[in-house]
Amino acid sequence: MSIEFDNNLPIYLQIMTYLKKEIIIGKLQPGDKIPSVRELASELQINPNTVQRTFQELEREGIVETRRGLGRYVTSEESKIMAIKKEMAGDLLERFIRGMQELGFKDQDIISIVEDAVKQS
Amino acid sequence: MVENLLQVRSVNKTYAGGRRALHDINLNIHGGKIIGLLGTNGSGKSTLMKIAAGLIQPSTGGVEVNGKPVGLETKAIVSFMPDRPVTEPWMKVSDAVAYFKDFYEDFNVEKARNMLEFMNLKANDRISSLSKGMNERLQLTLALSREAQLYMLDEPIGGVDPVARGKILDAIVEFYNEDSSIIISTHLVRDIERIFDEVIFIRNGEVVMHDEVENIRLKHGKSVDEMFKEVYAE
Amino acid sequence: MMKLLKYDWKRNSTTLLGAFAILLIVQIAITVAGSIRDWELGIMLGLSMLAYGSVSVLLVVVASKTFDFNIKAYHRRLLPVRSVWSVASSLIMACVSLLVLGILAALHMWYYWNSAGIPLQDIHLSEFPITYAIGLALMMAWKLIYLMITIFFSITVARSITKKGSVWIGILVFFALQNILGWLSHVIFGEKVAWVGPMATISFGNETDFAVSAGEYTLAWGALAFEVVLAALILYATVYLIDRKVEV
Repeated sequence: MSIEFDNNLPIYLQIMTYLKKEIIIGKLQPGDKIPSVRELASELQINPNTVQRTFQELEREGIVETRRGLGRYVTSEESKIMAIKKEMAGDLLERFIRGMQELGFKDQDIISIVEDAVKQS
Repeated sequence: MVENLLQVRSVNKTYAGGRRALHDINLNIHGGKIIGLLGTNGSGKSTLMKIAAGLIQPSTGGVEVNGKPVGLETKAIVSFMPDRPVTEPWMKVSDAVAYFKDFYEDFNVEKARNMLEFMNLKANDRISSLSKGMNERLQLTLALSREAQLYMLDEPIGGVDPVARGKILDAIVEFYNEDSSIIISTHLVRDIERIFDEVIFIRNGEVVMHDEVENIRLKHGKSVDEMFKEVYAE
Repeated sequence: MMKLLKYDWKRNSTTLLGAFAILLIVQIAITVAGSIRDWELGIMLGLSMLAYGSVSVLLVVVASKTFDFNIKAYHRRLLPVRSVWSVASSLIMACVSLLVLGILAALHMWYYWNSAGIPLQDIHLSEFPITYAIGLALMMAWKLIYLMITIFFSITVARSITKKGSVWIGILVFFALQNILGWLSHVIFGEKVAWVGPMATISFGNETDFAVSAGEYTLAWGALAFEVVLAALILYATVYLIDRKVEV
């Protein structure tokens, strides 16, 4: 597992994004065990408290659950994972649309540009 | 978490020639944190650490570790890795380990052995024939093999090759525990800022900032390295 | 403190063993040369004494350098050990190494007596009572201890000062302390030193005549007690300076 970190942004957010992605694309399956705080901190060479904070946030969002005595696991609730997927897509979309609007594109133009781009890729 | 593991109260340090190394330093450090003590050379970081370690006396003010004033008792719970070797040239690695075991009750020989292996150091290696990087690894091993409450590392990654640097950062993260704290002084911020909980900026003997690292990123949108450059811009 | 000594010894082991090895070689050389060239016993003894004297100076220097090293070394100052033990361990190093030297010298003298073929009764040992010998030994030991304590204090003073000329101040302090003892003793007790009179006289007739006679002596207890108190004060000051003033 390797992440390109941007030191200008909070690390814990970056780890969260990374882990969410892993879950969405299926690299981390529902019910899979997540590395412990120590393991992850050691692997990424980051502060264990930062990792702890990441996990706490993920738990708060219901993406990860702690099973007492066993460790942390990806939620098995597919619906949750779907929701995250939608949320991340939503973020991307919002940024994209805003960016395009700043460039001066109208809504209809944006849609057709996207259609062409998807066909070509 | 231990509150007020290290308390620095109104510490001033002026050397005999009149040079003022530290000016009215007030700091509070809690347990379970990895803290960066940042500053350019000559900013006062080493002086502050040496005072907390008991090597130098402050001109005024006081320092307490776990509520006890710096002295005999605190030396037993503070593990300081200074900017020069704590070993003697005639020693082999095994002698250095024996030395620490002899004098520090909290020295964990098992931990030392594991870490020496991790660092690729052998018991029979002559210290005088170790390269700088290997020597740094040894100094760090000795300091981190103590089950201390406060660790202070003075420039552990300066002048060290990237491989050794990686190993050292690995070791620091591995051997961290929630009750003790580690203070690392450095001027090489970019390589190491990810392992800090908090950073303290010292400039010209004064504390100019003390904040959580993620706060700096959130509030200012800057990396600690960039913040450092701003703070110390000529 | 024994642990401190262990490491002090290890650090200096090559120097010390080397010195003793060279001493051995020199003494053997003197004996061999002396018997080949048929030197007078007096000359051989003199040369031997010179060799022992040189090594004793070296031993004092080694102990002093060890002390100096220890009060400035990071890894020693970081130890949770009282400073007084650092002083004590260097002191003991000096005493033990000089004791070993003394025993070697004594054994050597014994050898000379035997090899010179002088029957025991010709050595007027009866005039040399055991208590005298013990007193002499103890007095020499005390002189050594006082010497080392003043040397250590002077070194500590020098290391407490960061300005230039600290070494000279240290040397000054040393000579001042060495002389002040006699002067104060004289002022307070009317005697120069606690040990009055020559320690011992070794006289030579020709090669076969060899006499050791006791000097006149009295032990001035008052002056001795004064010396002990003074030494204790100097020791206390040394520890104080190490803790408060010697910065690493």
